[in-house]
Amino acid sequence: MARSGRPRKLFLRLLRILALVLACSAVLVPLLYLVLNSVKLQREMYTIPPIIIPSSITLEHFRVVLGDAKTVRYLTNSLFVTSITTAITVIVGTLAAYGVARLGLRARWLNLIIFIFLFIRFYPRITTVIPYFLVMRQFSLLDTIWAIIIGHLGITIPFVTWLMVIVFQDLPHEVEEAAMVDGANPWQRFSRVALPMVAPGVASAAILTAFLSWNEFLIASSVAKRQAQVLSIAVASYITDQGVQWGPMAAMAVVMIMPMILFALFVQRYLVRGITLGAVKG
Amino acid sequence: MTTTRSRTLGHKKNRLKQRLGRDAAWGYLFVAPQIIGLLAFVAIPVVASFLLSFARWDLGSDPRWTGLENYRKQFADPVFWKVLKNTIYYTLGTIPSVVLLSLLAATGMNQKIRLATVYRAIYFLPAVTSSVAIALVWAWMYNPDFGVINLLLGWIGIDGPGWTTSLQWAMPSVIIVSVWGGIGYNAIIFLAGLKNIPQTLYEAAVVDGANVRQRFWHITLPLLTPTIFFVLVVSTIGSFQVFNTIYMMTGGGPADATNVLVLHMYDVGFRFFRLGNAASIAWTLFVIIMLLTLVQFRSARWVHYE
Repeated sequence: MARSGRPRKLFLRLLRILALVLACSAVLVPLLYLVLNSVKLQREMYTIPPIIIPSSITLEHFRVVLGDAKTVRYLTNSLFVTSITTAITVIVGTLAAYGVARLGLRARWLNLIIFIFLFIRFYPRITTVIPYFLVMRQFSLLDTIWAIIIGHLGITIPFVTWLMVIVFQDLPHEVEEAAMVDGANPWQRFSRVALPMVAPGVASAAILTAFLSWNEFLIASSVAKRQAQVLSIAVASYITDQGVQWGPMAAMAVVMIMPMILFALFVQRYLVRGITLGAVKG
Repeated sequence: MTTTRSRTLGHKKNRLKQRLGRDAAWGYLFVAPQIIGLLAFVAIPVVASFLLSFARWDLGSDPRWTGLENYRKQFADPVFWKVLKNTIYYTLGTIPSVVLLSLLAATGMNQKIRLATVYRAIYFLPAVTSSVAIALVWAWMYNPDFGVINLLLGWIGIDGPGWTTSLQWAMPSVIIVSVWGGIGYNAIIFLAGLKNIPQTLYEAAVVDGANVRQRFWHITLPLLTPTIFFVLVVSTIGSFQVFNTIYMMTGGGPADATNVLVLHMYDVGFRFFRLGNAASIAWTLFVIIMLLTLVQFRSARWVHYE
């Protein structure tokens, strides 16, 4: 029995590995294709039939893209938008979450606040793009970095608040109660006791926010299409009336996604925790 | 001993309550920045878009109150119905495949195999990659002349369609990209759900002689229903708001074959500057999403909570 079971088991195992490898290559091929095209010679770009593997590697597209002073500005704009958005989101979101989860608000107000948070968390924000554009126009913030940042905050803060409420609720009360008995005020309990304990949760929230802000396109393109451009708009801008400039586009896309992919591998654990928080209890 | 302890605990709890009452002021302080910010930058646009949906405005002159005119026009417009139908087509095409494939991927990753974290990292890549870049590289792969997909299909003797340029194939092209991009993210969620199922249940089932299939149908699936429900609700909400992929790949074409609600709203608002019409589309979309979410929660009897 055991002897006849073994080859079958081995076969199943091989089958499973084959399926995994196939699935992984399905994921990887488009990304590899993008990278390959960013180093492909211009004359091999539009051939029929297409050339998949370039005959030689050229850094020409990267030279063009990175040699352009505008690219540096896109990069710094993106970095600025992402870091400011992340910093403000984490501060405001964590504070509010602690207030809701721990600081005994009156039930009536608490319910109202939770309702507002929930409503905004699940409200299809995309539908407010046009009025948001008008508000920014009213404040003369159109085509500035701040229009993008505030737009991102509207999405990321409700999201992070919700995440952090769950994180704080999972935290045992005892340590903060002990601090309370020792006379610590809410701010001290929050900053010295609770915050260090939820540091991994804060990291997850910050990382998710950074990804969202870095990759966001719709808000950025609707309030800051002409100036104050970020990388996502820059990548899209290679679609012109004359067609798509694939070489520079691919190079710009690689410039945009590579830092994030490396970052993702580095912080994978926090990213996974952030994504699954709220989806799965425990 | 136990009674004295519980009594002091009860006493402590009362004092705690009093203290918490005094802390409430701090609580409002903690919540205030968020509430103020949200009121200024989210509530105003939400209310503005509601009012705007009953007015006519092209940014130039002053907005003019037109009552239900925008909604009446919108529901009489065949493009609106086409766009709504496309959105439903997109949703029905995307969600079942995403749920099934990501569940499958999660089951695969849940096995005790080597390099599990490497597989997980790979699945993950589309989720952290710019959707603009993803859409563009797929559009290129789909290109009937220079694209790699028809080349590969040609090798196995299939004459590939025109993909994004074809009336029949444009929407499936977009759906494939969305499924590709959605599997990794949802597989991570399913994997967490799978890991959350107590191992003891499986051990007990094995003792009772349950085979692999029985264990899946009677333990894994029922206990995973809350996760499946979560994924369904979130993906439906997301799917009705699809924009980036379609805007980049087809721009809604050919002949509105891939035009969806948000893209239509964007065109009406930012290309034709009919802001009132755009607002009425936005609010219709909002009502649709709310209704769908409500229906999903109402019909959630198949979800088992422990």
